[in-house]
Amino acid sequence: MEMNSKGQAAVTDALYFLLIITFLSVFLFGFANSYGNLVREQVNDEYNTAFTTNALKTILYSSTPRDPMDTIYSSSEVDYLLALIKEDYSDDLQIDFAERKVFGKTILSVLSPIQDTKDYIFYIHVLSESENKKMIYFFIHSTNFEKEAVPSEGLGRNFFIYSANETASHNNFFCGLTNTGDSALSFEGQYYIDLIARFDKLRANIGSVSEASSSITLVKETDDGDLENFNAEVNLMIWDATWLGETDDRPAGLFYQDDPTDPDTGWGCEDAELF
Amino acid sequence: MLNKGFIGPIGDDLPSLIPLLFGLVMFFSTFTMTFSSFDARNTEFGYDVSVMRISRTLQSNSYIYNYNNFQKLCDNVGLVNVNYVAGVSSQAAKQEDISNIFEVEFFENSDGQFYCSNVDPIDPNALPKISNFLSIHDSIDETVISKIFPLAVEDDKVVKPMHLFVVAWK
Repeated sequence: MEMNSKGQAAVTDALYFLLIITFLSVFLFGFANSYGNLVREQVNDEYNTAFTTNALKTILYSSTPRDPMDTIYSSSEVDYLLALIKEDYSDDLQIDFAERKVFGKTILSVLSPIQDTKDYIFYIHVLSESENKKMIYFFIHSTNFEKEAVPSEGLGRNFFIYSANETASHNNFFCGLTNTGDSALSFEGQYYIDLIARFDKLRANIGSVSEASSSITLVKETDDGDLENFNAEVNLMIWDATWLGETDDRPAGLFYQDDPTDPDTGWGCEDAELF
Repeated sequence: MLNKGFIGPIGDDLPSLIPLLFGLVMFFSTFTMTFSSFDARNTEFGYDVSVMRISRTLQSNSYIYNYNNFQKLCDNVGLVNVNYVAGVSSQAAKQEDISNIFEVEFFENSDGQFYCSNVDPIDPNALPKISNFLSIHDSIDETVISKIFPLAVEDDKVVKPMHLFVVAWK
């Protein structure tokens, strides 16, 4: 009897051994799959941050044509972009439509390698306590998504396919403006505070964001006719292109409701018409 | 009677050897796969670090004030464990349609061509393009890493927005 039980005990031991080996193998397999994911993420974050910082520096260093319809490669009269903005802002404390366009074109050209996959906002604002808080310049490049419902009866929730419009894949807007065209005034006071609140909500909901900011000095003419320096902050924010409208979980859109070409009125946007 | 079914000390344990061997094969297969994956990813990270080193050196402070400045930055790259070609191009900033990264042409002015590499060009007389160092066809068999960074380049007293392209392969 004892002799016959020996073989069964060996099989049971072998099955226990197999069970332990299976656990070990699953652990090793899991480790092999996840190894380096964190480092990969950090490498990507490092690249995105370096790209954003370089882009901001390049925009601020760049020359620009005085004529908004020209390019720096063909224009006979060029100036530093920041000098142009300073000069234009100093007299009436606004950036005119022509200068806004020149600025917008430079931003587009610097960020052209990522324009199909990323959306971004470039803005200049005054947030110093000693000055009126004010949005001086706000440019947004967003993907012109089309939303298509997928038949999903019985699945418990709605599913959509978001794809970029084939003819006009992106929208460019100047925002933070009370009117359109040359008569536009920048948001300040309560309008500025509301815009920043909308902006913060957008930033909190779009996932991973790469940001760079820098301080610049602008000039304004005082009542006595003297020129006075003051500080403003310039920011660039880049994120993976995503739908900014309403969803089942988000009844109020982040930037528009259903139509990416029609931003919510609180943003004070107008079409940039850069082309 | 007691020896009924007994076929010897090994014969009796034969059924238990099957799961035992199966377990050993499974363990060593997974172990080898894990080790290969670990090794491959470490090598990839090594390439990433090399590309970051090249990029950081060439970017400097994002402002290249002339051709000599760019060449000095190139000289500072030193030895790296990957083949690379890095250069400045104005095509993306001009919004020109580039079908793929291999067709990127490097910027050239009267002082010279703004690129550097640790490999010789396929055709020294051809246009200074990335494909003259690594073609799409050859890239299929290689591990290729590419990065793009915006840069400001001073050319003829005009500061032009351009892009630094770094393509490394092994």
